[in-house]
Order: sequence, then structure tokens, then C-alpha cells
Amino acid sequence: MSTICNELQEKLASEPRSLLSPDEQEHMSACSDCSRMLVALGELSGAFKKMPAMDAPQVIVDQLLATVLHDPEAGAVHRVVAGGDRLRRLASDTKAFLLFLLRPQFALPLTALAALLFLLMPGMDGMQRQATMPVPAAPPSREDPASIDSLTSDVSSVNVVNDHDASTNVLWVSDDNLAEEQDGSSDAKARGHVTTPLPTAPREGRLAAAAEVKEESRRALDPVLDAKDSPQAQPGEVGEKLQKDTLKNDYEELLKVRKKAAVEALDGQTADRLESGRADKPMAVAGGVAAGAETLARAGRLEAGGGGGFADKRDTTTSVQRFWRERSIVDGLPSIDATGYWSNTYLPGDPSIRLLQSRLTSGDRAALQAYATTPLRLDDAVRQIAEPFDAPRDAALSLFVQPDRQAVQGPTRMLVQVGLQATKRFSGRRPAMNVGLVVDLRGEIPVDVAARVRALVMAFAQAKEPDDRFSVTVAGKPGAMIVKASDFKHGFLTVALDRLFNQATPGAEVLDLPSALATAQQVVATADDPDAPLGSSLIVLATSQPLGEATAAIRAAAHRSAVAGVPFSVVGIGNRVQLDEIDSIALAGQGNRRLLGVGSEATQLVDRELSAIGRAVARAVRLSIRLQPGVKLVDVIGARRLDENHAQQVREAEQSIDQRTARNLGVQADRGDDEEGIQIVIPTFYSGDAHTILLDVVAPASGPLVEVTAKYKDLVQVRNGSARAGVSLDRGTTPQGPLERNVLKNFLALRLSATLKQAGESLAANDDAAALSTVTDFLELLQGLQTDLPEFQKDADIAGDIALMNEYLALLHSGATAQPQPRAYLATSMQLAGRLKVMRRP
Amino acid sequence: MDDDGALLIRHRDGDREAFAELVARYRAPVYSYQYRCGVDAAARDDLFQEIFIKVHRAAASFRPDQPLKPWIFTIAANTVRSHFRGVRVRDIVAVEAEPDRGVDPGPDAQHLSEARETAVWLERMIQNLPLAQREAISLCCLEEMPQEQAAAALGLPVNTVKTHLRRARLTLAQALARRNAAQRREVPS
Repeated sequence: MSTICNELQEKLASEPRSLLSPDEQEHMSACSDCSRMLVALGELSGAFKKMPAMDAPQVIVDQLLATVLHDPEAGAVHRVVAGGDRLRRLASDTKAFLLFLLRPQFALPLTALAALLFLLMPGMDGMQRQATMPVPAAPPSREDPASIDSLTSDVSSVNVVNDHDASTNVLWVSDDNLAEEQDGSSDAKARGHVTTPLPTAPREGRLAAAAEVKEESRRALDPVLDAKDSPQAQPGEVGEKLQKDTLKNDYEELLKVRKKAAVEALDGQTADRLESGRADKPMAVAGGVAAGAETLARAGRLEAGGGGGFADKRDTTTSVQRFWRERSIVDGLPSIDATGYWSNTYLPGDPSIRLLQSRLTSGDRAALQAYATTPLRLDDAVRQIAEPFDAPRDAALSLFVQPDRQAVQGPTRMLVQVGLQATKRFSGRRPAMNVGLVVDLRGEIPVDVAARVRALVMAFAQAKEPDDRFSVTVAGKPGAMIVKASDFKHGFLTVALDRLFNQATPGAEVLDLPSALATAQQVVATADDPDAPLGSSLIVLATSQPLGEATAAIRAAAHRSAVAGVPFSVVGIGNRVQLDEIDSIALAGQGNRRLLGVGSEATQLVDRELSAIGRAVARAVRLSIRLQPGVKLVDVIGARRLDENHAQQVREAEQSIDQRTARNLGVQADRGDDEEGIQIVIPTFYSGDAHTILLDVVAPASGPLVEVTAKYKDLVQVRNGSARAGVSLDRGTTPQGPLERNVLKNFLALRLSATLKQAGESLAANDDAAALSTVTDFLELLQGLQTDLPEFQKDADIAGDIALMNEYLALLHSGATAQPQPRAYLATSMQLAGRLKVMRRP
Repeated sequence: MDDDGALLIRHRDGDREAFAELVARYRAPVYSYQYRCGVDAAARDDLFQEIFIKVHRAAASFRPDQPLKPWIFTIAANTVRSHFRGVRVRDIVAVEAEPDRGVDPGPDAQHLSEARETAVWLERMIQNLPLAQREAISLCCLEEMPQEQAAAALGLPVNTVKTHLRRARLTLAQALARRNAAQRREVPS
């Protein structure tokens, strides 16, 4: 191309309507390149005008508006306040630090070192970010990124998705918590990360030392807190005694303050009712006992005991005492064999949340709002626990083990948390996909469901890339395989869907659901390339109705499919689907479970399903948790021990993945043998996710407690990955640090989740008394723990949970449940809040 | 003060309806901007909410004498750039077509199909451009913002935006010319 061509084309591109000089016009008429460019630029301008706008899903906009509506703080005002808080905290810390430096028992070099450490404290880092980053200014910014994914139908574990800017995560905690969280993160790494040999290394490092400096400073300033924070104040065999003795006066004073604050938080009418209605409390308490017992029996965590009325001092004491008593029992507990295969509780996807959100979207929030004097926050206010796990740098996964105490003096019941954190790196690329979509159209299909099915099928058509092979098979309507892979084009699909929903096809074959699945599986298996990445062949079952007795057969088919290298995902359509059925099938099929609430979400759903393979960072993750001799297993919270039949299915699935990755990626096959201890196999782990498993154990004495190994197929480094961590307990009464409290907070998060879920279900079943007492009981527990553990008094997560429960309690007392619409909204919101506490917010 | 700016002022003053109206006006432009800048589907919704929450939080700093659109797109552009800084291994963005609501295309299906095909092709080509060019194209050509406002929104000199626009248009027009030529070869007259 000549110089004049370049210049002319650049001129046209700069300003398509620019005037051409006579020389340029002459050149244009003679030069085909330039005239083609002129035409193309004109077409381009026209095409820009016809480009369709992409619109945000309505549910996202609704969530946004709800968040903004209930955010009472304006940005500029908040920034000033936040800055003021920071300065006040800084002044407080500085004062504490100076007092600390004046203590005579520390030599000058140590003082100098402490000064250096203090100046490097992460709280300063956080303050700097606060001053410079334009970040959202309220709790939602914390809960959105630290979102949580999950599990099966029972809330059983905490999965965190961390694909966010971690710096925003620390802006809404106090400096103390900030230091503790970051301390915890690094400390966890020091104690348990990957190849650290047993026994666990003691606390060490800059951040740990800095935290100790702060702790010392705080103690020097606050003798009351010092007394509470003494070993006696810790949960365990002496904690209960302390509540009656040393802390009695302070405790009662705190209860008064707490009660006053709780009542003040309610509107006047409700507060009056509460104040005057104390005589009614025993009835609610009795219900609380029954409801509480049911919860605890199901979870196997708490003994039945007296409940407590809201703001009733004696009963509150009973509630928290019951908790501590339960946590201190070491004798007479059922002994569970700490070997064999246990169920996996890491299952990506969010159908239950989407289902509940869709119900809330169509519900009448204003009707419930009418019973409150302040804007309701409800499930929007749920805060999730930020896990102190550092993402791995040179591996797909990192492993953490953390008990809820560092030292023991004798037999002690305790919680042990096993955490997995995935790297944030992922390829994002997806290979050519070979998908068999099976649509369950048995029985009468409502018009709205038909529209969603159309939207789903057309979304697959939009997402299809040249090398993809998609097919559609229908169960329950004439036509069987209505679109073959070779015909999966817009026109064919339109005609096929029209025939399916509008025109009966006489004589056409009608498949039942198992047959339709078998047909699709055969087609997909035939086209499956054994050398293609695992997950590139996929069965997707879309159903809008309960599967009932067919569930077992479909689950078996899903397992066979997964073992053959073809994962099996399920998409629920509408509100009639049974989530537990979907969960069990997706688990057996090593696939995902999703819910299509409205047709407009279909594109996003299909995009996520097809791109999931690009987010996988580890496969065949095998956790082996070995309790040391003498350590007694009470429970793997939320999980269950698998019988031999299910254990064999897990082995088959694991070996299938092992062989496939060996074939595809050249990663040496290394599976086939069982290991010692509790074994849990997670088929696929996704980028940025975190997952925790909580063990309830009794440690006989100080010494080694548990050793954990994780073996996995590392898709990032393309190798066999492994990580090993363990914990050894010191002898003594070392107070709980931030990491230990994090374990307790995770335990409470699971309890909160179960409580709200149960209360919501009770309310939906018109059992108001049970809902009221369940919420009351847990609120009292939280308030009691806040009193017993001084660190919880300044803990934003616990404070948020208490505010949440107070809001629900106020609504339960407000009379809102007398009307069907507010009752339904409240029940659904409670169930949603329970899930959002431990599951990822979509 | 323009109408949109008045909405934000009303929101700042406590009018609950104003923010919903503001979001209704800007949801598609902002979401489209994110999409065309290559924000992956998994992050798009979160980022969309983050942008508007920032708009809400920063409402106090909005000056009534300035136009709102560039102000909002300044926040959007910074948020998207910040997102990309966090995503070191950027994924390959799958090309999506216009959202299909599950409605049959109707009698003009062939025409719509061709238009959609061109739109899909153009989306793909835009997403192959460097981010700076995508930003410029999105604001100037698709949102039809004056170059001065686009430059203000992007925090760039006007001449830099013009350069990005010129290079982007050249790249796209050359690709379009090649595509037209290939189609002519497929369908000989």
C-alpha cells in the first residue's frame, strides 16, 4: 500500500465524513483498496448504530436497588466518618503502644524491634488503602466478594469464592480485626501450609508478633478485659465457673446494656409488646426447647436444654451455658470410626439461592416493610466469614488445618477446621464441547416453562462455537432426539421447538426420561474424544418437575456417565423442582446444579456451565484426615460416612478422573489405593474457591492432634499436586487467638444457617412459635458468646449476625406473620439468609 | 444541569425513586460497556453492581454543573480497569450474541439472523482490540459520546482518544473489507 493510501485511510478513519481534496478524490476513484476502505468504514458506522445493547439481568438490578435502598450512608459523609474512625483507632493504638513500650520488663532492643513491627502492622496498610481507593463504603462490599458456595441439601460446610480484590475485603473491619485477620492468614500459612512437617510450627513471624504487641497493649489498658480474657474465661471445663464468679458483676451489667440496646433497636410498638409480654415468654421458651432440640438432634451437636426468652437474663445465661457445657463434654459421646469414605460437601452451583431469590422477587416486600419503622435489610445484610486462607502461588490448592484452641490441659472437646483454598489463576479457555441436552417435558408443560425451555435451547445455540457438538433429546413428548448435533442450527432449532410445543407429530417416538438420557449419553459417548479434557463432553438434564421415583435411576445413570468421563449437570427450571434431587444427581454425576428462574437468565446460565471447565484448577482432590491415636471423632459436621456401595462409586469416579488426566495431560496415574483416616474425594475444584470441613473431636491431652494430606491433579501446573498439614496442641491454657476464633465463627455460621433455615421452614408451615423460639434461642447464644468472649464484642461478623437476628425477631413479634404475604416473604427471606451465610451469593 | 444529573441530585437528597430511574437509564449502556471491554460473564454482574454502588456512594461528590454521563462512565472505566488489573490471566471472552429472550424471530427471521450475524462478528472483532481502543469505540461510537466527554471519562487527552478511535476504526474496517471480499467469493454473481 502506498503512502497516500495510508494517509488517506487514516484520515477517513479519523473522521469518516471528512472532505477530500481533489487529489484525494482522484486517488480514491483509482484505488480499489481505498474505495473498499471507504465502503467498509461507511458500513461500520451503520453497523455501530445497529449494535444491540446488552442489558443487566433484572435480578441483578433488583439486588442492586435493594442494597442501595437499605444503605443509609451517603458516600462523602461515610468517607469522613471512616477516616475519623481510622484516626481514632490509630490514636488508640498509638496510646496503647506507647504504654507498652514503657513497661519496665522489656529491654531496649526488644522495644525497638516492637516499634518496627508496629509500624509495619497491616492496619496501617489498610488505612492507606482506605484513603486512596474508591471502594464501596459499607458491609455489602465485604459480603459480595467473600461470597460462599456450597453443598448439599443440608448446610454442612463453608465454601468461599474469593475472586475479588482482597483489599476491599478488609476495609470494614476494625484495625484490630484487620490485624487479626491478616495475622491469621499468614499465621495459618506458617502453621499448616502444604509441606510443613509435623508438629505444627509455633506462632511466628512479623504479623503474629505485631498482634501480640497489640494484645499486650490492650491488656495493659484494660484490666477488666484482661480478667475476662484470662484462661478461665475460655470455653471449657472452667469457663462455666468463671461466668458465675469472676465475671458475674460485669456480665450482668453487660446484659443490661445488651438488653437495652436490643429493645431500642425495635420500633416502639414492638418494644412495648416485648416489655409487657414477659409473662408470655415461658410459652415461647418451651417451644424453643423443642425446636432447639430438633435442630441439635439433627445436627448432632447440642444437647437439649432450656431455651431462653429474648432479653431475659436468666434464660440467656442458660442458653450460652448450654453451649459451653455441650462444648466441654468429653465423656459419653458417641464414638465414630474416623476411617473410610465420607461424603463430599463441596458442590458448585446455587439453585437453592436462585429459587429463593426468585420467590422474593415476586413477593411483596412492601407488605413486610409496613411492619417496620426502619428500612428492612433482611437477607441483604448477611455477612459471610472471610476465611484467613492465603491463595497458593505455585500450586492449584493450599491446605490449612486449624483447631479452635492452641493448648489443652486434659481431655478437651474441640473443633478442627480443614480448609482448602484454590488459586485464582485459571485458563478461562474452554475446549470444543460435546453436550447432550436432555429436556424433561413429561406431563403438561405450562406456557412459562415452555418459554424457558426455548430460551435455554436458544442460549445453547448462541453459545455454540464452530467445533462444538450440541444435541437436544426430549423426554415425554413426541420427537425423541429432536435436534441432532449436525443439525444444531438456528433454523432447525426454531422449527423443532415449534413442532414440540405447537404441533403434535403423529406417530413420533416418545421416550421416557431414562430412555432419553440413555439416548443422549450414547450420542455424546460416541462423539467423545478420550484425549479431550475431562468435562468437554457433558450431559445436561433440564427439568421443571419433581423426579420422584426416577431419581435413583437417574442418579445411577449420572454416576455411570461420570465414570465414563462424561460429567452430568442438572438445570432446574422454575419453582417446582426438588433441590435435593438435583443435588444428589449432580453429586453423583460430578457436574453442576443450576436453576433457571426466568428466560432472560438462560444466556448467562449456559455461559457459566460451558465455561466451568475453564475455571477448574484441580481434579480428583483426595483429602485424608488422620486423627492421632487417642483422639476421638464426634462428628464430621454436615458430612456422613458412606456405605461400601457409595464408597465404591467414589473410588470408581476418582480412578476415572485419574486415568483421564493421565491420558490427556500426561499426569501420572496414582490412584487406586485407599488411605488411612477419613477420606473425602472432591471431583473438581474451581478457581478462587475456598472450602472448609469442620471436625468435632475430643483430644485426650496435649500433643499431635491431626494430620491431613491433600492429593490432587493440578491443572495449573499440570502435575500431581500434594499438600500436607497437621496440628499439635501445646500444654497449658493459651488464650484463643484470631485463628482459633475464626474456627468458632465458622461453626457459628453453620449454626446460624441451620437456625434461619429451620425458622423459615417453621414459619412457612405456620408454626410461628417454633420459628420465634428458634430465632430467640440463637440470638441469645450469640449475645451470650459476645459477652463471654471479649473479642466478639468488637467482631463485625458477630455484630452483623446479632443485628440480623434482631431484625427477624422484631418482625416475628410485629404481627407481620398474621398476614399471608408478609409471612411468606419473611419465611423465604429467613431461608435465603440462612443459605447466604454459608453459600456463594450468585 | 441535565436530566440525569438532576436524578442523581434527587437521589442524593433522599428521593428513593430517583436512583431506580437512574439505573433504568444507564443499566444497558453500562452493562454493554463492560461487555465490550471484555469483562467475562462471571464477573460482569458483580462489577455492574459495584459500579452503581460507587455511583451511589460518590453521589455527594457530583457537581450539578457537569454532565452525568461522562461522570458515570469515569467510574465504570476505572472499575473495569481495576478489575483487569486484578485478573492477571485474562480469560478468552466467549462471543455472545444479542440476548435471546426465547422469543421466536418471526417473519423477518432471515433478515434478523443476518443482522445478528454481523453484530456477533463485530462484537468479536471489537473484543479483539486492545482495551484502550475498546474503551474509545464503546464510548464514542456505541454510546455516541462526544470525543471530549469520552476523553474526560477515560482520563485521557482528547488527541489520545482520537488516536485510539482511528486505530480501532482502521482495524475494524480492514477486517470488514476482508470479510466482504470473502463473502463475495463465496457467492459469485
